[in-house]
Amino acid sequence: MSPAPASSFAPPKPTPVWLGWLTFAFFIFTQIYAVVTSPADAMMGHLQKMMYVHVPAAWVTFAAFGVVLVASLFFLWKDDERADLLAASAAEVGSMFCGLTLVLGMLWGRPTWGVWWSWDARLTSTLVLFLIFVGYLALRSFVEDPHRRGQWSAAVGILGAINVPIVWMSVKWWRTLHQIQSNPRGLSPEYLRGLLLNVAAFTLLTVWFIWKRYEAARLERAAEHASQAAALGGYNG
Amino acid sequence: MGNEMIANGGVEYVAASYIITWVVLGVMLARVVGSVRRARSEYAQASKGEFQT
Repeated sequence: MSPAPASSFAPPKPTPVWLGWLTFAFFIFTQIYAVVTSPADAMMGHLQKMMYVHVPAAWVTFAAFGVVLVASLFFLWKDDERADLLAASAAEVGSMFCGLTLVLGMLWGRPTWGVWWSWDARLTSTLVLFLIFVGYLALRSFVEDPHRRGQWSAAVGILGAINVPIVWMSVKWWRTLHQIQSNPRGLSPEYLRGLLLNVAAFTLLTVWFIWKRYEAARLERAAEHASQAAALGGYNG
Repeated sequence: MGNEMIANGGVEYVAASYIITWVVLGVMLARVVGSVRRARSEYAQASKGEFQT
């Protein structure tokens, strides 16, 4: 076991406040824009408007778990605790969006399929993804040693991220109640604009959430290190 | 049954999905802002040597 580099314990630069305001203002705009400008669909009626929250939430779930994968690999390669803290921040945000995707999918499934839940491949693999990352977060709370915690959670993070392409491809590999991914080229421009704007807004929100959680995690580690240094200084003195 | 709901618009499901999304994002916002504030104050105390372990 090697000590973490001193740079891991330095407090991070604060996240710009304007970025948070801009992100939330853009999110509110895209939500209103999509709901107001998209007409009722011939088949789905107004239920189509659920696409502007369900699809972006699913997209950012995949993106967040992509960050977990890359940061976990980087941690195992370079042994840099900052990568572990970034992976944990992304897992927390990703789990939240994964849970939201499941709930929104159930709300969409009830009026269209007549059931809240079906054990089909897409829904089940998404639930498995959610449980893997809840397990990832639970594991982190059980392990005290930061280095061991980083190694174990990186292993779970990497294995868990393997499920992301399975979730994505599940609608093509198996016969599912869930429809296959819509091709953006097949969508009318009035639906596509709202969808792309909301995907962009959810992505910005995710980046901001992960950044803030990472900032908090770095500050917590810096505080732990400073208090340990103060205690050692007092003991030596 | 599903088709009847679609014909009726399913507006209550749409409204519920947006309300749940905003509530979840609001809770996440409060959580992350709170965690940064708490961590910043912990760090300020620790760096002054006031932190008790």
